[in-house]
Amino acid sequence: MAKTNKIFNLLPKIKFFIFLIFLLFLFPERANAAIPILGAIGSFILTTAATIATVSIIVILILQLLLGVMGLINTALANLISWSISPGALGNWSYTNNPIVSYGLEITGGFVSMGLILALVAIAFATILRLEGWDTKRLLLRLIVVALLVYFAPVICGFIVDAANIFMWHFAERIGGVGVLTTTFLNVALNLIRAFLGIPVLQQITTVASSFVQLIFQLYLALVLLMFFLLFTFRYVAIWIAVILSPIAFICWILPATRGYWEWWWKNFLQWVLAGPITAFFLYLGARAASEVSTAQWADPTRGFLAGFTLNPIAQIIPYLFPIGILNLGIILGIQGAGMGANFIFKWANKGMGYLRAAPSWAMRSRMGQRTMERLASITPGVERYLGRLEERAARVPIGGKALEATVRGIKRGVQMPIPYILRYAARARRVVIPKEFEEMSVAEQEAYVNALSSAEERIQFAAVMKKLGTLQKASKEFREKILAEAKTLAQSPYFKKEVGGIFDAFPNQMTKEMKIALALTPEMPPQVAQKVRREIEEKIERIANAIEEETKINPELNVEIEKIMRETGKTRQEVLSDIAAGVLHVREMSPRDIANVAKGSLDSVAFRLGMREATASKIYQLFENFDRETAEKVLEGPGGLNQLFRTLEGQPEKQKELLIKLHQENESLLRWFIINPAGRSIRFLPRDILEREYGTYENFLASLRKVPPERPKIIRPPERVPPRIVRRYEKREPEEPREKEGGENEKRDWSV
Amino acid sequence: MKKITPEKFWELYKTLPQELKGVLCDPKTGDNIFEICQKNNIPQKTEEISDCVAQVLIGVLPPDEFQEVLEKELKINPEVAKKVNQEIYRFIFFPVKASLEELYKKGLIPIAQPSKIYTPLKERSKEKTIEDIYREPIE
Repeated sequence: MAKTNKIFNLLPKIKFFIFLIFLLFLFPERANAAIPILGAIGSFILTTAATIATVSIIVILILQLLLGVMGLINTALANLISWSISPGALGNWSYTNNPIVSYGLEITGGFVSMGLILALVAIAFATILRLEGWDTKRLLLRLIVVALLVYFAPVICGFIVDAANIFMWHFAERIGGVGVLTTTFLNVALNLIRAFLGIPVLQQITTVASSFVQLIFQLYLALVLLMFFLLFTFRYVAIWIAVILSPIAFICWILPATRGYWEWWWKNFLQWVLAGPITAFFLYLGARAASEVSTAQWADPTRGFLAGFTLNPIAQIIPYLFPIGILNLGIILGIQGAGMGANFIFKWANKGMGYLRAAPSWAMRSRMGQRTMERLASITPGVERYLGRLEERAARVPIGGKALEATVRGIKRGVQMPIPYILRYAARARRVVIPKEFEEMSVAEQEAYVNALSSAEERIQFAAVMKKLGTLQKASKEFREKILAEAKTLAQSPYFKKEVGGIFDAFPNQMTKEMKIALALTPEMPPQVAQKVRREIEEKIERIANAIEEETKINPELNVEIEKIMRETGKTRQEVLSDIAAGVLHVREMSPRDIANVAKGSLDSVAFRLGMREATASKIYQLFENFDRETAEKVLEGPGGLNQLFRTLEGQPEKQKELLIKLHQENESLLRWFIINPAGRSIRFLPRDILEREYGTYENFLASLRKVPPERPKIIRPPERVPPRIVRRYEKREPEEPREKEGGENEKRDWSV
Repeated sequence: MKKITPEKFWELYKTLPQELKGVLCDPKTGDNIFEICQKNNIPQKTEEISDCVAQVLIGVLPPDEFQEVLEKELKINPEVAKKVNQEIYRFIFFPVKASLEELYKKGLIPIAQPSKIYTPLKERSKEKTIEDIYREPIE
C-alpha cells in the first residue's frame, strides 16, 4: 500500500517528462533539426519509454477501442443532428399539434375561462374604486381582444414557429459536410487502429501518440455535435411547453400586474423559435467548411507541409480544426443571437403596437377624421334640441306619456354622453403640434416650413406662433399676403378665431368691416344675439367712418391718404372708410401688450394712427418701449396722427383750444402722459405746446376747465302710467268707475290688496 | 440744472438699463409726480419737477443734488422741497435704487429721512400704542 502510494505520488513529477516524450514523437524532425542536445536527451528518454510502452499492450487495446467508439459516436451524432432538424423528424407530430401539447392544452385551456372572469372582476373593481394606474377602458379593450384570440394561441404560435422553420429547413437540406467531417475522423481512427497491427513495437509509440491526439479531436467534435443535437432536441420541448403555456400567457397580457409574465413567455418563446434557424445556419456553415477543406486545393499542400514535421494522421485532421471551430462558435453565437433576435423582435413589436395605438389618433387628425368629428360635434346640439322637444311632446301623451318621456330622456342622455369625447377628439384633431425646432428657425426657414404644410388650418396655427415670435411681421410680403388671405377665409370658422384675431393684431390696417363682424360672431350665437352684435359693430364702424369723413374736410393730408388707399385697392370711398374704421376699432380694442406685436409697416398706417388717438397711456408706453423713437413719433406725425391734426389747425388758436379740451375729455390719461411723464415730455407733442402757449401750465389748464362746469343733460322722465286692472279669465268685466282726482272731498283710499 | 434737449435725452435713453427705461416711460411715474405736487400744494411746478426727475433717471443729475435743485432753481420752500424729495425718493427712485447706483457708480446717500408717513418697524414697536378697547383678549 505504501509502495503504491509512493508510485502515485511520483506520477505528477514524471508526467511532464511523459508529455515531452510525446512531443518528440509528434515532431521528430523538428526536434532533431532544432536542438541537438534535446535530441540526445530525447533518444535517451525514447529508449526508456519504449521499454515501458512495449509492455503496455492493454493501453494500446483500450486506445483502439476508444478510437473506434468515438468515431462511431461522432458519425451517429452527425446523423442525429441531420434528423433532428429535418422536417417531419417526429413523424406527424408537429410543434403545436401532438399528443403532449394536446394534453397540456387541455389543462391550461381550462384556466382560460377562469382567467378571463377574474380579469373582468379585477377591472370592475378597479373601475369602481378608481384605482390609479389602471386605465380601465384600455384594459377592457385588451380583455376583449384576448378573449377573442386566446383560443387561437396555439395557432398563432404555430404560425410563428413555421415561419422560423422555413429558414431552418433551408439550411438543413444543404448540410452534408458534417458527415464529411465525421467520416474523415472515422477513417483516420480506423487507420490508426490498423496501424497498431504488424508494426514493430518501438514504432507503436508514434501511433499511440497519434491516437491520443485523434481521441482529443474526436472528443471535441463529439461535444460540439452533442451540443447541436441537444439544442435542436430541446427546442422541440421548449416550443411545446411554450405552446402549452400560451393561453395563460395571453391571459397575463390583460392586467398590468401580470404583464411581466406575458413578456417573459414571449421573449423565451421567440428565443427558442429563433435559435433553430440561427444555429442551423452556423451548422451549415461549419459543414460547408468541412466539405471545402476535404476538396480544397490548399488542403493537400498544407497536409504535405504539416506531414513534414508531424505525423501523417495528425496532418490529416489539423485542417479540420477550422470547421470544428466554426461549429463551436456557431453554437455560442446561435444562442446569443437568438436572445438578441428575440429582444429585437420584441422591441419592434412594441413599436408596432405603439403605431397601432396611435393610428386612431392619426385617423382623427387626418382631414377626413377631423371633418367627421366636427360634423358629429355640430349635429349633436341639433339632435339634442330635437330630442328635447320630443321629450316635451312625449310628456303630453295621455297614456304612457311618463314612460315615453323617460325613454326619450334616456336616449337624449345616451346622445349627450359621447359629446365631450367627440368634442375633445375634434379639438385635438384640429390642433397641430408645433415642434420646438420651429422657434429656432430663421424667418425664411419658417416661411418655407409653413408653405410646405398641406392645409390652411395648419398654416394659420403656425402663422399665429410666428406672430408671437415676431417673425411673421418680418416675413416677406407675398407670405404675409397669403397668410392674411387664408386668415380671412377662416374668420368664419369658430375654431380659429383666436389665431385669426392674433394675426390681425399684427396687421390692424388689413382689417375690414366684414372681417370685424365675422370675428365677433360665432355659430353658437342665437340669431337674435348675432343680429344685435352685428348691428352694434356696424353702428360703431359707421360712426367712426363718419367722423373720419368729417375730419377729411379740415385735414387735407388725411383725405390724400384715403384717396391713395382707394387707388391702391380699387375700392369705393365708403368701403375704404369702413375698412379704416374697422381697423381703428380693432386698434382701440387691442391690449397694450398687443402693441409690441404690431408689424412696423402697420404702425405707419392711417387706421393705426387714428386708433392710437384714443390709446391709453399704457399703449403709448408700449409703443415707445418696443419701437425706436422715429417709428413711434411717425404715429403722431403721419396723416391722421395727433400732431398732424393739430398742425392742420395752425393759425386757428381757438379751434386748437377746442380740440385740446376735446382731447382732454376723451383721453385725459394720454394727454397727461405727454405733459407730465418724464419720457413723454421729451417727445414732440403739439397739444402740449398749445397748452403751454395758451395756459402756461397743466394746472392752469385744469383750473380753467373747472371754472366751466360740464353741461348736464336734462333727464326727461316719462309720464306716470297707471297700470290697467288685471281681469281674471273667470271674472266678468265690470265697467270701470271714474276715478276721483287726488285731494277730492270724497277721496277714499283703498289700501286693500 | 443742465437742461437737455430731446435728442440728447433719447441718446442717453438708449444706453439705460431696462429698469430705468421702464420707470421713465411708465404712466405711474407721471401720476405719482402729479399727486405729490398736488399734495404739497405746488401743482404749478409739476412739469419742472418731472424734468428734474427725468434728469436724475437719465444719469445727468445725481439724486443727492435733487433737493438742492428743487430749492434753488425751482424756488421751492426748503421744507416742501424736503418733503417732495422724500416722497419722490420713496415712490420713484427707491424701487430702482440698484440701477441708479450702477448708473452713478457710487452708493446712494440715504438723504431721505423717514418721514412721519413711514415709520420703520423697529421704531414702531417703541412708540406707545393706544389701548384698543375693542380688542378681545387672546385665550
